[in-house]
Amino acid sequence: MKKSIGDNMIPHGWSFEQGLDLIKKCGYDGVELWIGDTSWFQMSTTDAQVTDLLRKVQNAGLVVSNVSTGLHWDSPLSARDPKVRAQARRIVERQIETAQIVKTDAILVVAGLVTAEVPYNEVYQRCVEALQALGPKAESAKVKIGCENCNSEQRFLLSPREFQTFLKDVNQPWVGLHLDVGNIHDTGFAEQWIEMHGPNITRIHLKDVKKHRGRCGEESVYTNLFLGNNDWKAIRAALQKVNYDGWLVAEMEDRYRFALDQQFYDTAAAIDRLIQGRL
Amino acid sequence: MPVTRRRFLGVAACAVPGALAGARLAAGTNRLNAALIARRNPTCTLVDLEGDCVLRESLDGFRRGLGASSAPFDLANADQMRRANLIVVPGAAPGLANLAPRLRDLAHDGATVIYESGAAYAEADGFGSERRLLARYFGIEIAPPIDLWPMTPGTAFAPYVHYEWPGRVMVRDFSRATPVVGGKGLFARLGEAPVAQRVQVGAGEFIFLGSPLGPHLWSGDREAQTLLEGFVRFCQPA
Repeated sequence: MKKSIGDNMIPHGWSFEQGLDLIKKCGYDGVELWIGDTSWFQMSTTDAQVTDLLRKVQNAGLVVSNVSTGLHWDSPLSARDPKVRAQARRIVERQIETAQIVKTDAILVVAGLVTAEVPYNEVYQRCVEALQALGPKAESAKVKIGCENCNSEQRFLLSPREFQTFLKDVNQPWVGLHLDVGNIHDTGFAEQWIEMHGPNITRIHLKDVKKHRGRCGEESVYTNLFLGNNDWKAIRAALQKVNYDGWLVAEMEDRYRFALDQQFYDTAAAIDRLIQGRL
Repeated sequence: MPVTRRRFLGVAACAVPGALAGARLAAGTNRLNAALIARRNPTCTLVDLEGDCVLRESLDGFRRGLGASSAPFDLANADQMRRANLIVVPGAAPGLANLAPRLRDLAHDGATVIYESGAAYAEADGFGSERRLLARYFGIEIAPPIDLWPMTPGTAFAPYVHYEWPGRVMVRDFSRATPVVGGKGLFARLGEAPVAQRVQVGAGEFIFLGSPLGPHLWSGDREAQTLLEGFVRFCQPA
């Protein structure tokens, strides 16, 4: 398995190159690029500029593990407004295009958002239809669309079986699961998701979680690896069982308040121990 | 009055089942007879306005809903519209100047026309012409579209449109709605705001839906389906 970390974790005020140097120094193999989350990578970033990002990644001795985005929180594929849905689809398409440019084969998509306004049945149906339409584009680009399990934040696809049914309904071989082992909270067990989805897992986000209800931001229950309630031995065993040999991508929601670079070192060391089984 | 090819074909198409139905179809068919023809041939036309349909999933929803209702229906674009018992126009962009008089004529001849407004999902500048067309051809007065979400805590109403006709059902709102100002034939409310109205037009009816129904049919909402089936039953012969 290889380890990666998001460029959206690069401390504010640092340049992309400084961040990449730190990531390399900490022993990561790659970097996850977040479109829309950083000043250097936006929807408006041109192909030439994206190519320049790749050059910088390669100069740092790294590769791009995947292209992610948080833009679908504001522009979900499940929106009622057709214009918003069109923008959401455009974001996915741009992710696919830029993934090709930076020579990676996976993107992360937050597929749908259940709200008081937009109920579950609508969200499900819209996401299925959107991904059915996007699947062939992904296939022709040889880029996998990984739908992330944002269980609590999305209030959508809360169990591994439900997610499996969803992927069956989408029925596109290039659409799978971007599993976040920290997003399951008290609704299940990450190792069971890994067992059930095995070959359909496109990438894995790593973070730990405290198993009481909460959300992002001030109410965050997310924490650094090994500080929460995830059963990391069971997670590692499940990864072995399904022969997962792909990217482990650190996504630390809770950030250090001092010595900001220290989180990169600590997280890299924790991932190493997970990979090596020194738990 | 010059007879266009389309009008001639439309008249001819209507005349065939009419002739089969009996001798009451004389050249001077009056409104009552026209209504009888329509009700003896329970047909439904779902109108695909193509680029002028601003809620495509609404079209898909009505297609699904009509299919599930076992009402025979055909799909036509605006140019192919012909007389039918029920004519459904989903997600109509505002201000379609050519559409309104044609719908009025079809209603006048006995059809029930369900017009689902997409005004709340279109560019704001179309609203003025939508208001003028509805007032001119159907006597319906509408108010500017309203955003229903996010609801203000304490002042919020439950997110349902309460329909009182053709049955009493509650269907979720669809985030934005185009209210009607008032008058006779109001049959659905969102909180205090009326959002649907039926008006008699000649031998038929024109039904204005200010809160989209089609997307709920598309997502499998049972109450929306019940409502649609109520509309279908209303249009079928006794």
